[in-house]
Amino acid sequence: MHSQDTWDVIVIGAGHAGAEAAAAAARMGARALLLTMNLDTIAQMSCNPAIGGLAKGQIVREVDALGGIMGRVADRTGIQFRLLNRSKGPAVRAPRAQSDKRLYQLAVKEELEGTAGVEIRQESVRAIKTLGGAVTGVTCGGGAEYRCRAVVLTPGTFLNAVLHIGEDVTAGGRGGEPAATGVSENLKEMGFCVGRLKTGTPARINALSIDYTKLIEQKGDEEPVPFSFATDNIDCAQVSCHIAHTNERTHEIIRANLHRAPLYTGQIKSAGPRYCPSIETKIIRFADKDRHQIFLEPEGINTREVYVNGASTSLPRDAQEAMLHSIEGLEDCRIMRYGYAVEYDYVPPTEIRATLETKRVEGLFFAGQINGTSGYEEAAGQGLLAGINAARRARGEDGITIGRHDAYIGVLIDDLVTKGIDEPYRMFTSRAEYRLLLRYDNADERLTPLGRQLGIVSAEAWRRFEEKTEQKRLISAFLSSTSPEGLSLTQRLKRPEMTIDQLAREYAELKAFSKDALMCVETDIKYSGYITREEAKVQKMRKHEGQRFPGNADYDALAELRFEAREKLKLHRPETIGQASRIPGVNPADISILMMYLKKGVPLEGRGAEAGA
Amino acid sequence: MNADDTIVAIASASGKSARGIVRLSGPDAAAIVSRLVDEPPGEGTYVRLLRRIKLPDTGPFPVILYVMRAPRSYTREDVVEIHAPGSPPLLAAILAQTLRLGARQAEAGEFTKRAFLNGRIDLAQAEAVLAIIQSASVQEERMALSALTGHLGGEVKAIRDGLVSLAADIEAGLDFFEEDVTFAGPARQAEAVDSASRAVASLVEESTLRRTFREEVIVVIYGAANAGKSSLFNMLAGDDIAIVRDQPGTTRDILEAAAQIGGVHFLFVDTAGVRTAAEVIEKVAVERTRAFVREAHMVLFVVDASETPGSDVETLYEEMQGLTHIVVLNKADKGLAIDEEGWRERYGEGAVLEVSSKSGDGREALEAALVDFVRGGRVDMSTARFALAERQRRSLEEALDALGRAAEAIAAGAGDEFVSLEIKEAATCLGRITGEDYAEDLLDEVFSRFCLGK
Repeated sequence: MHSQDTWDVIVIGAGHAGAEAAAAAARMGARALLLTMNLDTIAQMSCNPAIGGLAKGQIVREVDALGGIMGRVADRTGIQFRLLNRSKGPAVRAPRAQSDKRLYQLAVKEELEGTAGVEIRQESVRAIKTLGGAVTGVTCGGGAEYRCRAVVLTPGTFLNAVLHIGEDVTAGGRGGEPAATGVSENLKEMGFCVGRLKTGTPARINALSIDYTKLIEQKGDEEPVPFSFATDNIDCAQVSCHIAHTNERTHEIIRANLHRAPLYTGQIKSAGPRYCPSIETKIIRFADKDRHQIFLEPEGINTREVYVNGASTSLPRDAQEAMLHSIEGLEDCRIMRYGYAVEYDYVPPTEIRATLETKRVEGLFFAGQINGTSGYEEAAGQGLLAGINAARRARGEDGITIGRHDAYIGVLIDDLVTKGIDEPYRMFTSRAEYRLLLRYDNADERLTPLGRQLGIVSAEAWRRFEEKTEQKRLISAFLSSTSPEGLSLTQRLKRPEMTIDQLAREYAELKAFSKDALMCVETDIKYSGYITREEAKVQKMRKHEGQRFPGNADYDALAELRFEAREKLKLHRPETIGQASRIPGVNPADISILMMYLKKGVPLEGRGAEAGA
Repeated sequence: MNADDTIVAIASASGKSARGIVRLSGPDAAAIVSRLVDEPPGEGTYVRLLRRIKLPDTGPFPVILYVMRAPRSYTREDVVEIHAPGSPPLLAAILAQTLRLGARQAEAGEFTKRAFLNGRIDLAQAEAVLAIIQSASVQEERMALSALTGHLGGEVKAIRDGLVSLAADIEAGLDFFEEDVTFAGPARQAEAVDSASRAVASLVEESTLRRTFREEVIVVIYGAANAGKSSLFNMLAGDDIAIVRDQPGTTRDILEAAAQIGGVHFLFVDTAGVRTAAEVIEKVAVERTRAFVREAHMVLFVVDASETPGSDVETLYEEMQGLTHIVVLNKADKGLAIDEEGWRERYGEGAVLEVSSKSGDGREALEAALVDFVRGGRVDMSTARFALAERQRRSLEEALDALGRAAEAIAAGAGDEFVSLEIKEAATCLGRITGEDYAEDLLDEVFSRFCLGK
């Protein structure tokens, strides 16, 4: 069946990575087929009901600057917006929003349904078919087959997944949903290395059973800052979150039940994220802390379900009850879903290129948790790039890459391919060495021209971008040419205590401009010294980025390399000198040796074997 | 492909020579030299110019500049050579000034590497460059681990660890602002930056450090137990003894003494302690001593000549193979079981001297021989050892600058992201000495110290 039809791109999985991948491929002009095990769980938020946050909020803006879905939908369905680190500098500020989980899903589904070039179908993929090292199609449960030129695999936590609630262990990729089987074995047959990771969620409780009078209210911003450059106003009704605290009794209950905690009985062996520890891990590793914060986040407007953020756990059901009931304000809380830990298969990201195409199979792309990352935003960023490059592959073009100096998405992917992972990878601003350049306010400046060039940015988005660019030019010109008392406004703005808002109050000429444009100019002026320094570093780095190194280099033949460097290079197989220089264990002398060989001619793998045969 | 930075190195063989050369290659070569001399070299190529050079601690003195503009030079980049009198401290001072003005210390073989990458030389020569880079890389790795630089590495590591910990604190405050944890405030930041600054400054100042930066000839005293190494050390250190320090807090028990003999700066290193060390640490200690011997510029191989050398002495002497050394037949006062002639007959030609470290007889001859070795160019001073030292100092100075900017940023209330930027830069500079990278350490620090994450 369907055998005559060849798709350009098939996306397997419709989570945050898959949705962006399918939409991006379609915007690129490809015919994309999005296959999901369940149409009702498209863009499901498996974990907390929120989008954005530090570094993650920047990624959402980057996705938006490239025409992606996440930012627009988060704006339409956000029920509490906060600009984080508002009191700090723009490089470390970021937007975050609590989302109405159900509305978010429906909005993404609707968006995909309305995207020309995307077909959505409910199918369970069992295997990816290849011929001569290149993708040819997929096989689904029930025998259905689809042919295609490229595949983007975004299975989330579903590959051979197992859920743990205390001693209770069941197969499943998310609470109440089955695992995906067959694909991991299929990947192993293709030669991929497959590893295992762990993550977890807390319980969800009924809001009507919470005593809010005992909790601290956390309101959203009065003037919400949207994610998308295309959003003018936030229309959703806004709600509050609340903060509770664990106490000594909570910790006692957890300690008394540790012998039943899968993380500590050896039932779970894979690595979980250190930045998102389970409540059991928190009280063991930080035994001196007498309390931990718990954030109660509403899951939506039309439901009373509340997410107990900060209390991720895989303790048995009765222990979860006892633990939550010991918390002030939650004494009578009623659990609606228990917390659980999930273990799932991933493929070490040393298997992928910076284009997200696998090194082993042409036309096969990985995005999201299969690459060892965590987070909706990290998944979306990868999905977007994988979608672009799968579409390019389908028409016989090479993939594009995004640099560390261009975007957090670039930092993310470069870290994956040059360093690998040993726990689920989450983005932090501290991972970006060019943090002052990768701001949320300038994501459009960094990426929209690229999106335009690729043809994935809408005409309206481009018009807005050009308008903002023109405004920034006019503001800068006005500031530098206006010099009352011999000091230009640009100079005045450099003083720590001066702000663009203050100047806007003094000078009516500035009132005509958008807040966004004013803020961008302010930042560029205030931090010009630092920005110049970072840009100089970027210039230096770019040179190495442009120097490609063969992926099939025979490192054993590069006799001058030190042992450690040789082993690391063999494992990572960098594609550029720049990538090689960031691999831990490879030093500047080793890079010199690679550059000498690049000029001299790099011995390639397989040549010796051929000669011998 | 043209490099975007300018490299510099002392290009002449070290030790005694009439003329020394400091060579620069890269786009800023002429600009850097312009700022060092009384009159800029101008636009000409293949010119020889007489100029006067200005250095911080000396009056102006004459040098000759050779200017070769790209692409008509060895590297096909702009090359300027400063020819000056062949005094090692003077050349080091010129080198240091060029580094301050923005040049970078050349890696081993880097001039030739650039020549190759710019198409100036052929493939066969490339092999030679690869070999140089490889050996330098191995040597640097060994240096980083070696006992001679070990104490510097240890102190730098401690300072760097403190900075990484501070940066982790600040970064955690930025990335995890919502947590119920107090991270470093301005007062703690200022205190930590200040103490790191003072520690780095004192490293730059510290005389032991200056020793490794100065062109000092490192002489290790080596030999079998009871050969009289310590008394020989005391004899040479004599009244000129500048520093005798044992290294506290380490298992090694090494004595060093600086002495100026015949205008040459020597650093004598006594390895005697390791031989009397307890049985358990003997093996480790012996390894460490061997590392000293390999790193040294030259070795005084001490033999108890009142007895006929046994197999233990012969085994040790085999280690001298390929090393610059003088054999000291000690305990001449007790009567010699083997004399200079006898030694040469049995073990071949080489420098051999009879000395009594007890009576002081033979001291002058030994000192004259040491000076002769250096002046006669028999001591190889042009190795990466010196280059590394200069680079280390440069890294320390850069770290100090970054810490200064960090202190300013804290005082001005510029924002934690800027303070952190400078502190990470300082840590990166120090990491160049210890061979550590900050990025991974930082997150490890954060997650090990704070309970983070919702």
